[in-house]
Amino acid sequence: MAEKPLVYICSGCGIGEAVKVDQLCALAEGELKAAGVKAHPFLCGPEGRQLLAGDVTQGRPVVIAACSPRVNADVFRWDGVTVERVNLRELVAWSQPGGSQAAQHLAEDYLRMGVARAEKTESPQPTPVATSERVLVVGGGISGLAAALGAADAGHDVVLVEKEPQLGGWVARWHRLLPQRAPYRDPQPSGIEELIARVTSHPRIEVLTEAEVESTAGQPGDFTVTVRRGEERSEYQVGAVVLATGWRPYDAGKLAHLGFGRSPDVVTSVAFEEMVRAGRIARPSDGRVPRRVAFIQCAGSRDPNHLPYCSSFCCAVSLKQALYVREQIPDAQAFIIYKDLRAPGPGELFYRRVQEDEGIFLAKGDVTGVHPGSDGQVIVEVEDSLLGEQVSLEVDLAVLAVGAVPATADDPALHLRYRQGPAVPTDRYGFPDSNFICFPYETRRTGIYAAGCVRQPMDAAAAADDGAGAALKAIQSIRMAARGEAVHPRAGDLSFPRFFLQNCTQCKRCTEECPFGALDDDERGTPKLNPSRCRRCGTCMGACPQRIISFDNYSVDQLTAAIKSFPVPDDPEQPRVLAFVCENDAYPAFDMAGINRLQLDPAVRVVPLRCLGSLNVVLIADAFSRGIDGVLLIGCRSGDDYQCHFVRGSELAERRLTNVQETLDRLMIERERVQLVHLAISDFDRLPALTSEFVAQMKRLGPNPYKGF
Amino acid sequence: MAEAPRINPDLGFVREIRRIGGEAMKYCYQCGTCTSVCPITPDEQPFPRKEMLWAQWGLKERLLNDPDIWLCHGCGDCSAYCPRGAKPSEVMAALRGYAILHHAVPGFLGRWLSSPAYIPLLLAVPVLLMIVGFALAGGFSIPPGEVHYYKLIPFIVIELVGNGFMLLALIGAGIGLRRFWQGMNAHQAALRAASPEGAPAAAREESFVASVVAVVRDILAHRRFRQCGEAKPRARQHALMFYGFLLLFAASGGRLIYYYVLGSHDELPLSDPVKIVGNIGGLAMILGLIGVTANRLRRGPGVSTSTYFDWFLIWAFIMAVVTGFAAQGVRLNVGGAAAYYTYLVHLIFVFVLLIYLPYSKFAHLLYRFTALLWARRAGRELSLPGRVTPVPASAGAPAPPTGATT
Repeated sequence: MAEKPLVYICSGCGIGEAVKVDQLCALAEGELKAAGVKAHPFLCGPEGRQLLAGDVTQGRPVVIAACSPRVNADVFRWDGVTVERVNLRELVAWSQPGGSQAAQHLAEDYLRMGVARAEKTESPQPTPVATSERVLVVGGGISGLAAALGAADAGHDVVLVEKEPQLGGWVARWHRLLPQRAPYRDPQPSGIEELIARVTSHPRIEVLTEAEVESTAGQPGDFTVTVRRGEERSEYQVGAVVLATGWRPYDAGKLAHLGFGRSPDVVTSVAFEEMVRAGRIARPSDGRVPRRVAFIQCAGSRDPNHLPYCSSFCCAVSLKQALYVREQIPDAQAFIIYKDLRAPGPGELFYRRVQEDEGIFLAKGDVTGVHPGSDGQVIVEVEDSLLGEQVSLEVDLAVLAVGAVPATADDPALHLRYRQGPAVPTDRYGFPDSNFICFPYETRRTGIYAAGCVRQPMDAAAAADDGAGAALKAIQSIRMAARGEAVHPRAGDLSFPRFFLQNCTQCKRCTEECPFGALDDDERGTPKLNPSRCRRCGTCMGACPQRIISFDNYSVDQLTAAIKSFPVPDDPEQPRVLAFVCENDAYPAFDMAGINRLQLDPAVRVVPLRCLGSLNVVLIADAFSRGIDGVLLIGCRSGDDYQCHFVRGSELAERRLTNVQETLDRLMIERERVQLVHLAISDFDRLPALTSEFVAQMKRLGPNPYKGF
Repeated sequence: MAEAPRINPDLGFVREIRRIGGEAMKYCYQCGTCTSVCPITPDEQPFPRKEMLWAQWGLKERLLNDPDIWLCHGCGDCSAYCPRGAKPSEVMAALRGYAILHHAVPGFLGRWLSSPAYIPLLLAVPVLLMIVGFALAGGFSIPPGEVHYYKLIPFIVIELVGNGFMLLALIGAGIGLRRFWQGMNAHQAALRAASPEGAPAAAREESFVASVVAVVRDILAHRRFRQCGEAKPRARQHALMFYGFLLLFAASGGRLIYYYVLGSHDELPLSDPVKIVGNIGGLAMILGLIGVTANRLRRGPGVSTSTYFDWFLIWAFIMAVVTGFAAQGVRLNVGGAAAYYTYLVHLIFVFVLLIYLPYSKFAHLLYRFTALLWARRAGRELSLPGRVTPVPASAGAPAPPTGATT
């Protein structure tokens, strides 16, 4: 057990008015046996900081009972010193009526929990990984080229692997790109040849064409990659990977209802672009120059039977291609039939420019059929447009604007030697799974960053930016692995799960449940750690039935100690509720509630967790055995639109909860005593009702039958 | 299933509508803001959203026979709220202008009114007619003594020449309006065929005369125009000009009664009720014209576009009214040859105003009336406040869906 902590209690920001600080000091000195206790009216001010600087010493934990741990983290931090924060400001002073007995009890319990945690905390020892600085870029399209250049220019050696004989990908096959510079009016040459020349001539970049990655083993900082070219295999040590394997157009063969295959004059937007690049717009059937060309948007996209999502670039591409028609064929007419015209970003300006062209006709409508006409034309049937309930267009050529399918939909590309399989996990559409709003480029394989259309459909300009962005993330992960730090979202975290393997039953829950595939099996079947793959979410700790997985500064033992640190009154009128709260969204929501001076029920004690996925169900049992009347689990939304920062934490917590409920039934404890709630930070205003209703429900249920045992 | 109607854009039509005031129309992205803010559109198949799309697509035949371009009073609410700056109100005005010129019989007169290049020709016609008139009446000489216009030129000559041409113009207009009426019927039939459930309610069961009376009553009250939000002053200005014009028309009629019925050929004193009515009408016209002109100048090209078509009518009115007052003033204060010459100039502008009526923007009087009448007959009911939408005689039929769902 660690040393007894020093306790500092701040009475500023309204804490002194809300609770009796002297009583808290007495509690710390007496019951909690702190090594020292000091109260200060302004702990984060110059005087307070001076006071602390004079006191803190290596090896002795410090408990700061003041504001939320989410603020002043830089003020209350000393190298080699364990700091536990007790949130008396947001969770007590700002969310309880001042001077109440309940608020005093709440503050005392938080102080007890803080001290208990501090006593069970060690300064984490980093687990650095021997590092290769080299970056592997897979895919030589515009994203891959930009990634390779970005990483190389930043001083990293790069291996660029491309399966085709040439670099450049799709962009090299386009006639023009969408406008990329103000005023965003005219399509422009891609300039891809220059980009390719810069890459091939860069001294730090090794380009391997007609090559494929055969296997990828290891972890960030220390991947071993086998590249195959023909029959020849070579091995590379790399620190991180940029996955830029791109996309392929949706298979138009499945679009017979849009005339594909029924008339040679129904072509895909990709074929049309290549036709223009080849020099002449002509009908495939008879080589005649078409006078009227229809562009059919969402060809397969936003269609539950084909690609349910929007590919984002097809609308702008059709606008561009309509301009080709108008520029290359005098007095031609181009029709664009769309569901919704989506031209994101500066595409809006380009859209306006195309609208100005009198020979380009845009209309919202559903294309219900495309079929050959009697005289060799193509008939496009349009429904539900303002042109009429049912109208048709007679055109010479129809272009289907097909969407993008990510390469990862059916190609593992990296062939990972991971216990969880060779592929980067994908969402249901085949894109690499990630919390992409918070962490673009993320995949569920640390050190492997997706860029360009493999990540999400985007135009060439965005894909190039994406490559550069992913290169930076790759470099960051190499550096952090070398220092033994976690990457996002716990960036810089030095703690690392320790496995007490003597007690491991090889149930493999940890290896299977880890959202990031950090754990492989060793020869004996026990978990093999790959420290730099780990994101430190603690999902393994929550999964382990043997409770053998702990962090230096975060463990089941520590949380149990905190839960058991405060007395639970027997009075049925004073129920106690424990809220296990995710630190990423739900805990900030509690802070927000406090900042907005919303009143929270004083029966609720908040216990922050790294992720709901790190909640070991034994903690729920511990809580009930202590006489706690109800347990709230508050985490992020799960499911397709999950908000979980660790991707699967909240989902796993839900799954475990069903097991818990069966246990509760056996123990004759009402299921209603445990509730799981999804809460986003912006839902903070739900907290007063949420907590008070749950407490009221516990009162109705009556006291926990195990109370007092 | 019957073959769906083919869509054939007319590029020339697109160009022409953009040239005559609808230049921004291609910016429309069919959000429907125009239709939802329009205070006077019917609930079923509302305008101007569909007209915006048709115009962009160059669907000329539909638009020419579309009553809705005339149900619009151009108040400009849609242009004010359009998120794209596509100016639906201006596009509707351009479509009306195009329709007037298109329906014009004979067609060349329509062309004459479409460009300032023809102004000399337009003025030459009445001057020429005047010369012919004087030749018929036995030559031109300034009569001596107190100024009485009949001394210069017998009123019967003015009546014959002026009304004769007016009659020809109105016959031309009648032919155009008849085509328009049939066109609207065909248009509605086509719309119904294309969109059965969105079709307007059944035809109204009331006599033709009753419909005419009702429409005239609405027009007199400016019932629709007054609903316009952005252009409240425009409804007032229009009313001033409208009633001013009616008073002047009445005064002219009164003058003819004096002349032909009562045999009083001399010019009337200012105190005469006919003169009082005429002068009040003229003043109202002037007030209205000042307002209209100021309004158009103030709004400027960024907000709304005033075209030659608009300005021609405004200037024709200004010239007719100003020369009218000038003639009266010179006659009473100066007399002699000056008075007669001013009068002749006044006659020229009155001629311009009235004879070219079916071909200038003034024709909106005919087309809008016709379209309103047709709409009322067709049951294309307008959901104006204070008016109870009558249940069609064929009650029991399911109510048509309301709101802009297309």
